[in-house]
Amino acid sequence: MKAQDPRYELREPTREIELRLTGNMERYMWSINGVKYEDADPIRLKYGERVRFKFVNETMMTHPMHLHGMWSILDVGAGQWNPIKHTVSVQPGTTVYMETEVDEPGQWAFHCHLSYHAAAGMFRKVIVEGGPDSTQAKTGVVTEEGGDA
Amino acid sequence: MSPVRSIIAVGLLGSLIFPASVAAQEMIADTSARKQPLTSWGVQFEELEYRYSDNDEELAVWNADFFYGTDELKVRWLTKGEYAIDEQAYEGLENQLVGQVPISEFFDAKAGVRFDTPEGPDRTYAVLGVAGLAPQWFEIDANLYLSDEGDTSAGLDAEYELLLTNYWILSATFDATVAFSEDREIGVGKGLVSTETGLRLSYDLVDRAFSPYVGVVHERKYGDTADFAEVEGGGTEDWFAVIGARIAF
Repeated sequence: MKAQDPRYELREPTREIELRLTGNMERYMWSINGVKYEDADPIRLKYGERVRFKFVNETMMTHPMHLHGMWSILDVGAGQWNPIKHTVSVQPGTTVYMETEVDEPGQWAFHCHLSYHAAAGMFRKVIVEGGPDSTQAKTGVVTEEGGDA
Repeated sequence: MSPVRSIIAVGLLGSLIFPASVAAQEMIADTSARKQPLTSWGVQFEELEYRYSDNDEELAVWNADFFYGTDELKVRWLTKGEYAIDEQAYEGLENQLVGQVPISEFFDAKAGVRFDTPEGPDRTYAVLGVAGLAPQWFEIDANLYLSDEGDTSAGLDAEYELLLTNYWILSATFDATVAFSEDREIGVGKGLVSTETGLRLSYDLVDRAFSPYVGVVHERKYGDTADFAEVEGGGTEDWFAVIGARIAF
């Protein structure tokens, strides 16, 4: 798969963030880096950087990871023509890289798109700081509120 | 966690070095509405069946549990009963209310109370137990009981599910009860009290929610408990043909 029309110029990522997709199949508990959303600090990004995310799926299920607000540029080795996606599927026991041009200030949801997994804790808030309209940063875009399953 | 920590650390370091710019670009506060853990609930009838014994006794039997809670703490109501259809009496009726917390990757600890209210004298017990998945996929539930009469006993339930296909499941169950002291009034002798061994072949008809099964169950009483049962004119060993369904939702 590749992008028909590259949206961004290719450049080196400014840094890499590793996100281990973790859980317990028997208990059906889900988390990122072994920490559930309710216990986690937000991931803070700086407007204008290009972040490389490393997903390591340590579980027995596929996790379609969805970052709101910005594009997920899946690294398939096609360089500038790497596909630009909403959601990146990470198969069990695999490592997947994606890069994101941090070009939208505000607070964004970042979660596994299996709803129960997201509600159970495989979820992070991403806060993009700085940028042209940082004082009016978008809020209220975290759609999943959890609660009762 | 560490990448996130380091980001925050860098952020804090930056704010020390460039205090002037911080005023213009304050860190956006984390205003998450939800920081509450997810709660879930469930109902499962592990057994809901009709039993027909080798001496023509008919029983209605259930073994069910209801839970509500989070990954870290669940409240569980376990109920099981054996209703003799001809006598219209409960041979066994047991309800437990326990709190359950994880203590290892695959095991939970439980504590609570158990009420036995069958035909005959009632008993109330304090319960302390562990439940979980042992290596080689054995479901284990082991409990210690202390009754209001001061008698102690222990119970072990083990189950193994053999997936013949993804739908046809052969499950083997083994329950054993051991008493550390005699409770003559309810017919329990010291030592190994009873065992129940079952073999059930089920088919997952509606997802894993409704699985009808047929099977055989063997019940036996041992030692003093068996003697007490004989004195009262009861049997010490029974074979049952069973038909029923496992239900979960």
